[in-house]
Amino acid sequence: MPSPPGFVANFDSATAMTMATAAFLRGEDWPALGNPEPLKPLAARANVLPTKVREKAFILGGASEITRPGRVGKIHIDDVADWIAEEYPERRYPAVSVGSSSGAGVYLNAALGSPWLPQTLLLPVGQRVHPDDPQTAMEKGKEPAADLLEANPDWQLHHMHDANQDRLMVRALTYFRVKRRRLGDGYERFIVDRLPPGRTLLLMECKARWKTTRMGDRYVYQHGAMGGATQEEFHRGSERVAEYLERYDSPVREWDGPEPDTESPEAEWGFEESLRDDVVRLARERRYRVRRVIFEDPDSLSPLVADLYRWWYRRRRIPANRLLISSFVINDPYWTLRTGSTPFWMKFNMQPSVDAVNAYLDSTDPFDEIHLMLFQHGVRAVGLPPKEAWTDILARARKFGRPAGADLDEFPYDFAQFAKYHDALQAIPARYPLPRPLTLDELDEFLSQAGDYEGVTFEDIDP
Amino acid sequence: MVSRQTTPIGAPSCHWREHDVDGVRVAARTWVTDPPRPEPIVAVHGLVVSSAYMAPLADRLSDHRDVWAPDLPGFGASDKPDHVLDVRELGRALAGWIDAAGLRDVVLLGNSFGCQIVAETTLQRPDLVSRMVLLGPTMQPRLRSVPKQLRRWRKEQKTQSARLKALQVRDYAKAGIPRAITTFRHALHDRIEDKLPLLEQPTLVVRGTDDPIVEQDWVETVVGLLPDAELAVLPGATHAINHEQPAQTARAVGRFLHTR
Repeated sequence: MPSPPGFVANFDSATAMTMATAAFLRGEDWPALGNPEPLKPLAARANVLPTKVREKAFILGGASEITRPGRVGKIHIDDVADWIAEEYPERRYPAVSVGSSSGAGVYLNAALGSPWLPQTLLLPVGQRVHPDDPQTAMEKGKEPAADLLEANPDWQLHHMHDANQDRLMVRALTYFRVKRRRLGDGYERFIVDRLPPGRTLLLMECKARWKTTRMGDRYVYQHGAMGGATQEEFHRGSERVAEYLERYDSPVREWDGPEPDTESPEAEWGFEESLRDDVVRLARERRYRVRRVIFEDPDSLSPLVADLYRWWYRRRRIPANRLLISSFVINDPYWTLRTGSTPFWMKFNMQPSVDAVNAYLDSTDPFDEIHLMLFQHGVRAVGLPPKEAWTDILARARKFGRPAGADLDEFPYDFAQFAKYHDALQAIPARYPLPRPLTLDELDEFLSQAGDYEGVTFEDIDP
Repeated sequence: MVSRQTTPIGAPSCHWREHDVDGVRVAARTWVTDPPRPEPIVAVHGLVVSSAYMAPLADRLSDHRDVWAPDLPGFGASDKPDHVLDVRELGRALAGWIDAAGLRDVVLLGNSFGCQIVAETTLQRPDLVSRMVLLGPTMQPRLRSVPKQLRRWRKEQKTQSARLKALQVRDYAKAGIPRAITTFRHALHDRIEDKLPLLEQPTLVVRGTDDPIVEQDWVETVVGLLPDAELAVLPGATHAINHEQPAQTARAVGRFLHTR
């Protein structure tokens, strides 16, 4: 498969989730987060290195995709559509989904056999700042931002700085997250060519928002990001934040970021609504149905999708007693379905995700087995759960629970997880054939039986 | 709008009219009375030819209805856009032209590739179209390949009159060979069968028994896919029925418009 254009980040949620969805639609699995197979043994041995070196290797992995600030004006973001079109097999689909990233969305689209076209992308731009200096990070972003926006009129920029979870990366690069305001030629051609009239466009709309500083017409600056720390902690500080900064030997004990003056769709996950108008315009012309899938938080869809898979397995008379917890970009619908596993996606690896899994387990029939694919990001960040939080979850299985490749003692530094999850999934002995995709009618049938899910609504737009 | 008279044939006589559609000048042959009659017919030509191809049928239909036969952008007397329009863009252009000409409740009539544009326009703008007439509609999915189409097309050449051949040479020369080839590719790529089930307008599908391009089972499929359609089979008629068998075709169309 071709790799994405050089200016987008391979390690980002949108790119990784596109690749995972596309791999499944090609009938393939998705090992080592889409990295070349020969790198697997190398990555699997990453843990023999001391923590400092591992951190460096992680940064270098990300840094290989950096664009130098002076070259940002040359980026034509729409080019990414050509790569995405090539990722997905060339055939006609029952539905096409467009919009927000969500790992639960990966499994939903896999079930429906529909490709997903991301609204948001990450462009890593080279920039050296101290992680705990969000003000300077903002200032330094202005010039490349102006170049980028001028060259890309259909996009808006959310310059994001997260000194908590992305502490390692933000030393070498800054996160330019860009959101599509219109479909653009590439997406539109993809949809028209591969979605026959009368079929359905799914709009994935995550309602997550964040307090931001307005920098321009299509440009905001976001200090902080969703994860372990709250918005208030980023903007006002807290005891946890002070401890964290001390632990990393920072000269400050709270962040002094620019004062937020507006609220925007969250840089990584939130849906920018102007895209909806353009989708409806195309739907009118091609007589597509438009179904909005609206979810409060990126992981609000997770319980629904897990229950959908369970319902689907029962309908196929397959035991639905294995839970596979995935996190952030570690998703593999192929092995999930081949092993008859119920996928529950965590947005990251922080305490709120632990709470979400526990809430789901409280709400549903117990599972015999629980497997955990745990993303590793190399920072003892604010809100990082202790090892016991994970072992407690695994202990909730009726028969056994185990990490799928991760060494929990090494969390969150076990970068070998990226190489090992694939082998761990294959080690699950059960094998089932890949089913034909669920139809939208079957999805409706499930939804009418399952009732409402908190934070999720489906809404049809009459074209 | 500019008006320019050509040789008058029958009543009403044929006039050229021009409209601006998003910066592109679109010319049309028109057979229109004053005041205009309701539910005008818009006749859409096939691959690369022009409205001249529609004239013999239009002339006969104009006894009872106003008839408008535009040259699609890139063809005949109309402007040539910078790039070769695909079916979707041609549909958009035709809808834009119907708006610009101030027409409403039109009977969209097409021949061959023109039927693909009729279906596309009706898909995009159902509000403009009251009924459809599809004469020898393409593109049969089974024959959707360049060699298959070329073979059929060569057979079809043998059924053409000398006058039609002359007209084609003239119109191909006007459009240019690269435009002809690209438009043909677009036509091959377009899946009319996906659109037909969504087109609720009452529709007449017509096939000539001597049409080598359009097979009987395909037109039956077309009628089956359309929610409200009927089939007329014209004995001895060919593919370019609007040009070669205009009287026979006009009778079938007239019957449909009168009874439905």
